Amino acid sequence: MTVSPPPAAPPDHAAPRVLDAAVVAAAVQRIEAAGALDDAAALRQAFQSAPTRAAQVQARAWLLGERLGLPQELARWRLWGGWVGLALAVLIALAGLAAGRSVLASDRSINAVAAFVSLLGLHALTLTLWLLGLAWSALGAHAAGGGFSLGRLALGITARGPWAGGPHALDLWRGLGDVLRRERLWPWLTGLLSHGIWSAAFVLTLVVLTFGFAFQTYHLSWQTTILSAEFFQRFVHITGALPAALGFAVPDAQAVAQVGQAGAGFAPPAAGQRAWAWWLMGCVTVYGLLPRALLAAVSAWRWRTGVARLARVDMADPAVRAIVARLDALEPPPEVIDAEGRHARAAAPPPAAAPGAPGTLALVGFELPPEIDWPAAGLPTPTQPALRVSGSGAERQAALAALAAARPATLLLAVHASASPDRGTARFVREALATAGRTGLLLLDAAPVADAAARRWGDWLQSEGFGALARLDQAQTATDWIATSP
Amino acid sequence: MTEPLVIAIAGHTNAGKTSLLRTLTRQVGFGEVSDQPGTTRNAQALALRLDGAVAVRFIDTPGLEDSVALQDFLGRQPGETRPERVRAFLRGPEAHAAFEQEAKVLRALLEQADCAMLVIDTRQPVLPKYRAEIEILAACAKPIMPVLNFVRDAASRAADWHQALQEAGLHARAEFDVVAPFHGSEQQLYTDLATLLPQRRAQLAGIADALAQQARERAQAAARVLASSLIDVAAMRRALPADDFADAFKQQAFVRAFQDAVRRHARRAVDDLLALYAFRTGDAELADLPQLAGRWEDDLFNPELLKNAGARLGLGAVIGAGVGAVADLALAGLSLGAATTLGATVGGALSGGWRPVWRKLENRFQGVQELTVEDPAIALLAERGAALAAALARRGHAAQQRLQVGAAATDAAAADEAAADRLRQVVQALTPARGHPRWERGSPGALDDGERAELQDGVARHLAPLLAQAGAA
Repeated sequence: MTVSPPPAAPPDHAAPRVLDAAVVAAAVQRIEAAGALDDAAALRQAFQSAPTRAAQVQARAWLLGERLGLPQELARWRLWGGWVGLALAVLIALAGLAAGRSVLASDRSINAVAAFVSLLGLHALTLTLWLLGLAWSALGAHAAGGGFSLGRLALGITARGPWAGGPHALDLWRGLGDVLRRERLWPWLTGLLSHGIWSAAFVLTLVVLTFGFAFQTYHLSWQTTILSAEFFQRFVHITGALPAALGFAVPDAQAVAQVGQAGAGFAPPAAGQRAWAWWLMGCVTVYGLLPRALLAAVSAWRWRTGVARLARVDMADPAVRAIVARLDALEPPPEVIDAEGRHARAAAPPPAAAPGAPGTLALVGFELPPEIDWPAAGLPTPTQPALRVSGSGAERQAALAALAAARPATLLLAVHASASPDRGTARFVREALATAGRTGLLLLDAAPVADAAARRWGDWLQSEGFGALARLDQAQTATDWIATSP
Repeated sequence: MTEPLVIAIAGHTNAGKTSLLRTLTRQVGFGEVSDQPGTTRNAQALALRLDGAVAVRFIDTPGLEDSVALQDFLGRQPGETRPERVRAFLRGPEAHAAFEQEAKVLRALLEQADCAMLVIDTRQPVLPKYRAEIEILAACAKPIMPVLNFVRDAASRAADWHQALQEAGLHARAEFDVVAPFHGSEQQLYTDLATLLPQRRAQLAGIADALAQQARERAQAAARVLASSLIDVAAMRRALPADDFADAFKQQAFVRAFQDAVRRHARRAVDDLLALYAFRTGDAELADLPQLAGRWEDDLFNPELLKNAGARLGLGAVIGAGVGAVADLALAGLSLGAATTLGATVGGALSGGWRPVWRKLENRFQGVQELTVEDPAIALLAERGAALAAALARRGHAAQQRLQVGAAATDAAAADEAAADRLRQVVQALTPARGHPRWERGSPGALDDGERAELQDGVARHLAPLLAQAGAA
C-alpha cells in the first residue's frame, strides 16, 4: 500500500497491480492455511488463462481473492491510507509551521542556536531511529522494520482504522507483512512515507522562515550561562561549512562573538544578521530538507525495484508447490496415439500326432544366461544331445529342425525364470510343441525361482493358450515329471 | 519454446519403459507398472511439462517382443535402404497382425520421434533377441540413447551391455535405477542427448536447466516444510495443573497426549514431504523398530536414540540436559517442570516480549507444570525428516516396493561429525520458538506471524546442507 493519492479509477481487473496481486496472494495463502477454499473453478480458470505455472498460481489467488472481496478491501485501504498519509503530512507540516513560528517569535529576537536545535532536533532523532531500524533489518535480525517512524504510524493507523474492519482485514494486513518481509521492503515503505512527510514539512518551514526573514527584521543572537563564546564560534563554523559550500552566507567568528556580547539595545550590523538568517535557513535545508528528500528518493527507488520483484512467485514455497501439483493434474491425460488392435492369438498346435518312440527325451535350453549350466544337474540323460539355444534365428531354426527329426515323446524346455516371457518365446514354444508328444517348461535361475517369476510364467502359459504345458519350477520336479510315463 | 522434442521410449517387454517415463515426467499414476509381460500394448504420448509448457513429448511404446522373427522379416522386405524396408513392412499386412506391437514402435520412431530411448534391463544377458532389437531400431535411422535400467541390482550385467552397445555402434548411454533413478543426473541425460541431437542443443540445455531449477525449488520447499514442523514441535508447550501432576495416572495420560501431538506434527511433515515429491500418502513406510508400534514417529521417544542424539548435540548422555532438568526416562525426549523451560523462555523472550517469563514464574508459583519437547527429540525429528526428504528426492515414481527410512541412515550420519555440527545449528536456530507457544500450528490461538516466517527461513537454511548431506550418504 502506498500513500499515493487515491486512485482515480478502480484498479484494472484484467491486470492487477503487482503489489496488489502479491498482497492478495499472500492473504489468500493465509486464509487457505486456516482451511481449504473451494477453488476448483478458480484453478481451472487460472489454468486456462495464464501461460506459466507462476502466472497461473497468481491468477488463481487473484480469482479467489476477488471472490472474497480482498481487492476491494485493499482499494479501500489504499484510499484511506492516502487520507491518513495526507493527514499526517498536514500534522507534521503544522508542526513545522509551529516550529517556524516559534523561532520567529513576536519580539523579533531569535536565539539562533536554540532555533537550530528546535528546528532540527526531532528530525535528527527520528532519522537516527529510522537508520538504526534499517541497519537492524540489514543485519537480517528483523525484517519487519522495527523502530518507530511516521511511515509505520501511517500504516498502523490505516490498518487499525474503523474502515479496515473487513472480514479479512487481519489476513490482508498479515499478507502485506509477508510480502514486505519477503523482499525486505518494510524499511523502504516506511522510509518513503516518513521521509516524504518530513520533506513536505521542511519545505513548509523554509517557506515560513523565508517569508519572515524577507519581510521582517529579526535580531539573531545566542545566549549562554555555562558555555564559552568559542563554543558558539566553533559550532557555527562547523555547522555552516556545508551550507557555505552550497553558497549560503555564514557569520564569521567575529560576527558570532559580536552578537554574543550584544546586550539589550545593541544594534548589530545588518550584514552579520543577514549571514545569521542565511546560516539558519542553510542548515534547515542541508541538514533537514536535503537528507529527507534524498532518503525519500532512495526509498522510492528501492520500493519501486522491490515491488517489481514481487511479480515473481516463490516457487519454493510448499503451499505454492501444492497448487502447482494440482495444476499439473489438470493437464490432459496421456493420449493413446496408436491403439491396440484385437487379434486372435495363434492357437497352440496339438501335440505331435505321431511322436517318436516312448521314452525318448529331448532337452532344450532356450535363451539361458551363461552362468546357468545346461543340462541342469539332476536331470535324466536325454536320448539325444541336449540343445542350448541362445535365440538367434539360425539357432532357433536348427533346434526346431533337430526336434522335428527326432520327434521325442517328451520335450523338456528350459527357460530363464527371471526373464520376461515374450512373443518370441511363444513363437518358439508353439513350434516346438508340435514336434513332441508332451512338453514341460522348466524354470531355471541362478537362485531358487522366485514365486513372482513362477506365477508370471504360469499366467503367461494360460494367456498364450499353452495350458497343456507342464510348468516345472525345479530340476527335481522336472525329473519326477519325466519319470511319469505319458 | 520451439516445437517440443519427441522421444520414443522403446525396449524389450518389461524392461521398465513405463517406470522410466513415470520418473522422467514425475507422474506417479501414468500407465501400469507391473512385472507382467506386455503391460503396455498401446502407444501413448505423455508430455514433460516445464512451467506449464510441453518441453518433451514421450511416446510410450509396447515392448519389442518378437525381434528375432521381425529382423528376419524385415530382411525380406523390398527396399534399398533399411528405413525403406521398415516403411515397406509398416505398409504391409503383418504390421497389423503378427508384428502389431513392433510396428507401433517403429511407426512412432520413424514418423514422429526425434530420437529413441532404448530401455535395457541389464539383469538380462545380452541375448540375440536384444541385439536384434537394437538392429531393428537402428534401421529407423534415428538417434538412439540406450538407458540402462537396474544398474544397481546385484544381478546387473552392465559391463556386458556396455560392450554390446559399443559393438552396435551406440556410444552414448544413460544409467537408471528405479529405486534411485539418475540420482541427480537427469539433467545429464538431456545434456547427453544433445550430443545425439546437435540441432536441438539449445532446447535440451534449456530443459536441463529447468529441471535443475525445479530440483532446487523442491529441495528448498522440503527444507521449509521440515523447518515449519520443527518450529511447531519446538514451540509446543502444555500446562498441567498441580493437582493433575500429583496424580500419576493423569500425569501419564498427559504425557501420552503430548507425545501423540508431537507425532501428529511429524506425520504432517511426512505427508507434506510426500505431496511435495508427488508421492501418495502410504507410498512410504517408515522404519519399523521392534519395540515400538512400527511407526517412524515413535522413534522420537526412543530413549536409546534420544541418548545418542543428545550425545551428538553435546548435551551429554543424560536426557533432559536443559536448564534445571531432572532426568526422567519415562518422559523420554520431553521435559516436565516449571523450571525446565525457563532458560529457553528467557532466550525466546528477547524476541517475544517478557510476558512469557512472568507467566512462567506465575506457573511455578502455583505449581503448574509445563511439558515441552527436548532438544534430542527435535534433533531426531530433524535428522529423520532430512533423511526422508533426501530419499524422496532420489526416488523414482515407479518403485513398487515400499521405502524404508531406517536406523541405518541415522547411524551413518552419526559417524559424521559435520552432520552433528549441522544438527546442533538447527536445534540452536530453533531456540526462539521455545518462547512462542502460539507458533505451533493447530494450537489454540496459533499465530503465524512474520517472525515465525523469518525463523522458518532461517531454520530451512540450516537444514539445506543437512538435506544435501543425507542425499549424498
